[in-house]
Amino acid sequence: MSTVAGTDDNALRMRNKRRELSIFLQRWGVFIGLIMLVIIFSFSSPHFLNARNLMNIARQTSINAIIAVGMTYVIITAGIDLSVGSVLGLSTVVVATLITELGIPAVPAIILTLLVGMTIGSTVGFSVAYLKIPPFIITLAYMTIARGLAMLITGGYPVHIDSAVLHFLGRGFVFGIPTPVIVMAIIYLLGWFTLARTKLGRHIYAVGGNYQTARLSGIRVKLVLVFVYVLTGALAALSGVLLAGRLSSGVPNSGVMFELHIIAATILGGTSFVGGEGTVLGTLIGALLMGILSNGLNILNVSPYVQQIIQGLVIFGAVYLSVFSSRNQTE
Amino acid sequence: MNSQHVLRFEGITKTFPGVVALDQVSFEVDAGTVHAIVGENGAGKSTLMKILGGAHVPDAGVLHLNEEPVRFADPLESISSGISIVYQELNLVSGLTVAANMFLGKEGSIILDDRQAELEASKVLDELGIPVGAESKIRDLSIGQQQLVEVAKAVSTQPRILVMDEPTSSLSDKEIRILFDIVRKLRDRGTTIIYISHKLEEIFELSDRVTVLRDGRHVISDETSRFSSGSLIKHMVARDLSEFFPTRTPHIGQEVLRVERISRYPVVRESSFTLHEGEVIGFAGLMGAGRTELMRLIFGVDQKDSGEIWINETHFRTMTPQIALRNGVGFVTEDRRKNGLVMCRSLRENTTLPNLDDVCGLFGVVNSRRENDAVSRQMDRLSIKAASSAQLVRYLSGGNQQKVILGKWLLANTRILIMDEPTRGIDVGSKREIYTLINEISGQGIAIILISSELEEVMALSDRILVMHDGGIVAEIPRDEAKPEVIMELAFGRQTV
Repeated sequence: MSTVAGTDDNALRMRNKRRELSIFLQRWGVFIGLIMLVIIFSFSSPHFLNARNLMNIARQTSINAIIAVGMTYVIITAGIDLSVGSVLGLSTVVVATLITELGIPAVPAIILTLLVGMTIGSTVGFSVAYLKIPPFIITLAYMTIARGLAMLITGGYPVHIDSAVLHFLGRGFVFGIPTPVIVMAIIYLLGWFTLARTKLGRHIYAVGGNYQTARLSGIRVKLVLVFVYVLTGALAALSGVLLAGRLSSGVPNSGVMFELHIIAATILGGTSFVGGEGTVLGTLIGALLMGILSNGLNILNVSPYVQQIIQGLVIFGAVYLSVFSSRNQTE
Repeated sequence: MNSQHVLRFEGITKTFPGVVALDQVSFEVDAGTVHAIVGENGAGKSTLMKILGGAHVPDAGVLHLNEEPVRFADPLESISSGISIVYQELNLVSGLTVAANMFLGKEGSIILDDRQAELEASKVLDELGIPVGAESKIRDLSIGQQQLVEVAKAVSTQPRILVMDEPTSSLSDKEIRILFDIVRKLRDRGTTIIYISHKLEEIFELSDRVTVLRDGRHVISDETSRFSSGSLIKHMVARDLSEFFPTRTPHIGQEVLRVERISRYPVVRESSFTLHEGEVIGFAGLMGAGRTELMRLIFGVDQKDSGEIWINETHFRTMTPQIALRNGVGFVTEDRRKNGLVMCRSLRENTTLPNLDDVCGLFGVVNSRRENDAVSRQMDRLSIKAASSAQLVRYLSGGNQQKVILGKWLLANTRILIMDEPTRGIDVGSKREIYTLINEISGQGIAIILISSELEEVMALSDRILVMHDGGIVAEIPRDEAKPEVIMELAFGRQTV
C-alpha cells in the first residue's frame, strides 16, 4: 500500500512540476527565447552587441512595435486588423503630400494625417460593431482601399519631404536616444497603463472575453469596439509619420506585409486569438524578438529568403508553446 | 448474465494540482440497468466519467470492462470499447443537418450519400420517438431538440454503455418524457445506462441503482428503492437538510417596478406585474413560456414592441442594459458561461465589472486597494471559495461561479435583482446557500424576481407566484394559496383563473 502511495506521490509531483514548468514557459518562454537569441547573435558576430546596433534595432522595431499596441487591443477584443500596413503606407503619403505639395506646416499636417488614420479606424470599428461585418473581411477591404489611395495620390512615385520636424521625428535623437524609440516608449507606457489599470482596459478585456456578459454588465460594448480600431488607425498613422521622417519621403508601397509581422509580434507576446487575454508588455517582447531576429540574421548575412522561413518557424514554435502549456495547465 | 458487472471501478484515484478529484473509488455497474450517479458539484462525477470516456487517465486504480482490466489512453479507445457519452455541453455542428451530425466522423465512404444518411438518421430518430426531422439544420432546432439529437447520435453507435451527464438540464417537460422513454427502451434492449443528474425526482423515477459520491470518495451504492430523497441528500452532503428551505418573514415596502402590458411578439404577450421593496416574486412556467424573454425586455437586452416600464415611479420609454443598471436593476442570467461571466478573467475583474466606477479614481484609473477591499468583502459575505481573488472564474465550481455573479450585482448596488434559474446545475449545498442569500438580501429591501424550473423552489421562496404560459402571465397566486398541481395545470395552459 505504501509503495502504491509512493508512486502516486511521485506521479503527482511530476505532474505538478510539469504544470509549473508550463506556466513558467507560457509566461517567460518568449522572453527566454529573446535572451537566447541575443546570446547566440552576440557570440556569432562582433557587430551585434554594441550600442549602435542596439539603437538600430530599437529604431527599426519601433515602427511595427507602436502599431502592435493597437493590434494587441484589437486582438484582445477577438478582432483583427489587416489594414495597418496599408494605412501606414497611406499615412507616409498623406503627410508628405500635405507638406510638400500643399505647403501645410508640419504640425498641422501631422495632426491631419493622424485624423485620416482615425477616420479609417472609425469606419472599420463602426462596420465591426454596428454592421456586424467580420473584422477580417472589413480590414481586408481597407487593406486594398488604403493602398490604392496611396498609389492614386502619388501616381505610384515617392514624394520627397523637406521638413525639420519630420526629420527630427524620423531620424532625430533626444538625449542620445532615437526619437521613434522615445515615441515607442511613451506609447507602450500609456498602452500598458490603460489596459492594465483603467476601467477602459477592463472593458476591453470583458468585451473580448465574453461579449454578451460585457453587454449585460452595462458596458457600452460597441463603443469599446470602435475605440480599439480608432486607436489602431491612429497608431498606424503615427508610425507612418515616423517612417516618412526616416525616409524623408512618402512612399506609397511602404508597409507592405507589415500587418503580418505586427500580428506575429502580438501573438508571440501571448495575446490570445480567442480574445480576452493578452498584455502590452508581452507584445513589446514579441516585437523585440521579431526585430532582433531579423537584425541578427542580416548581420550574419543569412539570405532574406531563408530569413522568412526562419521567422515563420519562430512564430509556429511560439504559438505551439502557448497552446502546449495552456493544455498542460487545464489537464 | 447472473450478477454480471459490465463495469467495475476499482480504487480509481485521480489528482489534480492541489485537489484530489477521486480518492480510491470502487463500485460496480450491472449490465442492462440504469445506474444513477449523484453528488454535489466537485464530488468527482465528471472526472470519473472523463476517465471512463478516455479523456483522463487515472493515477491509480483499474477499470474493468466485463471483468477485464482496460486502460483508455484516449477517447477513441473508449468509444471503440462500446462506451458512448452524452456530455452536458452540446457538441454539434450548427450549420450541418441532424443526419450529417449523427454520422459525423463515421461516414462510410468519401462521397457522401445525403439521402441515405437522412434515411438512416430518420430511422434512429423515429425509433427513439424524437420529433425532429433528419434533414433540419441544427441551428434551426431548440436547445432541447439539439440535446435529444445528441442522444440519438450517441445511440446510433449502438454503445454497450451509454453515459448521460445532466441530460435534462435544458429540456422541456415534454422532451424529458421523450428522453425517459428512450432510456427505458435502451435498458430493455440490454444497454447499460449511467445517468448523472442533480434532479432527485428523475433519479427515483428512472434508475435501478444509485451511487453517491462525495468529495471524490465513494459513499454508497445501492438499489434506488432503498433510498428516500432525504436519505440520498444526507449521503450527498453528510449533513441534515431537513429544513432545506430556510424560512423568512417578508418586509414588503413600496413599489419599485411596474410593468404594464409589455410585449415582444410572439414570445412575450401583454404581460403586467408589479414588484415591491423586499419582495420576492417567483415566475413559474414551462421552458419556452417566455419568462426569460420577459426579463430580457425589462433589462433592455431585447427591445419591446409595446408596453410600459416604471422603475421607482419613473417611466422609461426605451430600456437598455446601461439604463437598467443605472436604475438599480441587476440580471443574474440563466447561462453562466454564455452571458454571466467572463470565464478567462479573474474573480476580481468579474466581480467589479458592472460597477467599476465605484472603485475607480480620476480618469477611470482602477484603485487596486479599493477594488481588493470591495471584492474580498463580497467573497466573505457570500463565502466564495477560491484560492484568491486573482483566480480565473473558469477554475471555480458552478456554485462558486454563481456566487461571483451574485456578488457582482450586489456590489453594483442593485435594488431589483432578476435571478433566472439561479440554482441550475449547482450542488445541493450551494443551493441552500443561495436560498439563504435570497432571504438575506430581500431582508435588506432588495426586490427579487425569481425564475426557476424547480417548482418547489419557487413555492418555498416567493411571496407571490406568477405563472406564465405561451408568452403571457396567466395567473398570480399568493404564497399561501399556491398548490403545485394548480400551478402545473396553469403552466400547461389547461386552466385559467
